[in-house]
Amino acid sequence: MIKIRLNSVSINDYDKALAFYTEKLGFVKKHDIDFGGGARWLTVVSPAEPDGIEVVLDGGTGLVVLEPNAEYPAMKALKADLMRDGIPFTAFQVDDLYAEYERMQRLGVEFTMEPTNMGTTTVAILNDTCGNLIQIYQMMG
Amino acid sequence: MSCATPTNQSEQQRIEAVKRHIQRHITEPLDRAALAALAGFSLPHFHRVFLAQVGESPTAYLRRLRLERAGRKLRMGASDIGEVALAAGYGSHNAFSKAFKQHFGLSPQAFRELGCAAATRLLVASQTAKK
Repeated sequence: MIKIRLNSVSINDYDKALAFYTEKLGFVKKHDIDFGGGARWLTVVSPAEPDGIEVVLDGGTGLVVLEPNAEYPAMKALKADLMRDGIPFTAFQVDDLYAEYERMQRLGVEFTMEPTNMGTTTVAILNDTCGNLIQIYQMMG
Repeated sequence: MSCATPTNQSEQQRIEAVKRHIQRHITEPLDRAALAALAGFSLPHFHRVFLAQVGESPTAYLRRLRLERAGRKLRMGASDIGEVALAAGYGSHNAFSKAFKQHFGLSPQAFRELGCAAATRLLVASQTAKK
């Protein structure tokens, strides 16, 4: 049986990304392993699902791997185009979108799209300050 | 001539600051007088400098950003066009639809039915039209 346990987010600065994803978005650090040469295996998880088991059932992700590949030319071009076009790099589910939107706004997170009703979901889009737009969404009903 | 460059740079920086302010506060009511005050210019001077530097008036710039923001919501499938209209600063569905069609060439409903690539092309064309 195939499973989804990893979802990578391209970044260019481990510490900056870790600070944003933990202090602003609310993830918690799972692994931070030094591979040498400046490379790290850095992951964060939802505090509600530290082992990520249930997330597979949600069709979501268990671990978020923060990958410092933003300078790879193809990734750099992709990120720039996605940012320019306002398209999220990836999406994370939340229980209460409006509460998270207000909480993150108070923390200074910049939103490029305020909560918007999409029918089966309500979504908002934020800037992760690491060159990505991130969608957060709440399943409705 | 030697005095012209610093003055122009300063005006450019002020207009850029106003643009950043508009982008950050796009969901809030914004009026030209407040924006002119933010730039430290009189309203007529602000209008003139903004138009010269950006290629469109402050009002047109703000309208375009709000319509593009609405377009991005519709591209993602926003189900309530009335809500999108309200968030874009329009008091009625009709006024929004008219402005949207005038800007993008098709109605909000038709825009929402476009594929992602086609909608993105229209959005990018709108963003780059004044650059």
